[in-house]
Amino acid sequence: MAEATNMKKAGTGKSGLGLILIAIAVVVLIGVAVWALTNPDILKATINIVLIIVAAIVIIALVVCGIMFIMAVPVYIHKGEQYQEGVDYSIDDVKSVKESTSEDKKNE
Amino acid sequence: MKYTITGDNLQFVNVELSPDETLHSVAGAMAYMTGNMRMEAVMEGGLMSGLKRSLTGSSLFLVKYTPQGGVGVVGLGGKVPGKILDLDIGKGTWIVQKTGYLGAQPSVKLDMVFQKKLSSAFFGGEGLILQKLSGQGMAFIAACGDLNIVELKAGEQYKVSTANAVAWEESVSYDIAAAGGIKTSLFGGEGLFVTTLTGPGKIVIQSMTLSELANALVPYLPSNNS
Repeated sequence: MAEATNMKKAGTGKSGLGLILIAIAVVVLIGVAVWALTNPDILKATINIVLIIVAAIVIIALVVCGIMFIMAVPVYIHKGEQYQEGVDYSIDDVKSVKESTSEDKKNE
Repeated sequence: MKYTITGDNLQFVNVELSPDETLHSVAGAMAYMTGNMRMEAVMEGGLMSGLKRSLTGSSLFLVKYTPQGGVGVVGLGGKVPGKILDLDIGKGTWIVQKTGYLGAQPSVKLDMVFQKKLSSAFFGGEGLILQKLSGQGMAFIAACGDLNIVELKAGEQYKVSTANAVAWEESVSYDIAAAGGIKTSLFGGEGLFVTTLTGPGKIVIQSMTLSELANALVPYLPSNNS
């Protein structure tokens, strides 16, 4: 079996250690979360915070939708349908994007 | 830097880098690279720039590709069926739709830019936040569908279905207009508005947006009952 030539190896020991530490941190965080959620007082407080955040997101989304709904018709009336008269356009101006190379760009 | 863009509707951009050259890409764009190429995640411009990049649909970290002691090749691919387009940023600053940036030379600056008009942000289909590519060098953008590129002269205008404008030069004026009368608005399929792009400058238009593709596929997705 052929082997690749001129190979060098950059050490990944420290990165591997970092990954292990991250894995341990994730396990610890899951443990803390499980402990917290089994405690009724903390569980209640957490649910309250989650409900407040969800309610805030829903309210913001509704406000944005409301603004868009209120704005849509006035903007539609203000902008109007625009079109040009007495101008010619050519289909030759519309170029399709295809395969290309850096040489093509230099020749532009 | 030499490159080729190959493929039909799921394209590669293949970039050849000399030992003194590097390339940046959005995280997850690398499809392949030669054995002498090293990649490194970098928070280009610091945490604030990274966060701003995230808001534009790009990634917190960019990936930097550097060949080791010889010429190397790296291939990038888009995340959706579509095209990759090469833009020479040295010839002008470009505004690109959210998630359009694929990769670029390090001399190209990727920044966040807001829509100038609130009405365009709400009804233009591209949202409030866009990507701005400035500086010098080549940049690669990717978008769903097939792409058309048009060079508009001063005062020339194209009306584009909302969200189908992929990119446009900074000199192009981006706005919205009513799609038509009440009959057209209700039954024309475009809704109340179309996007207007007025020259001078180049514009890039896509044949299909990602959300249109997703909607077209929904009826054909397998369900547990079938």
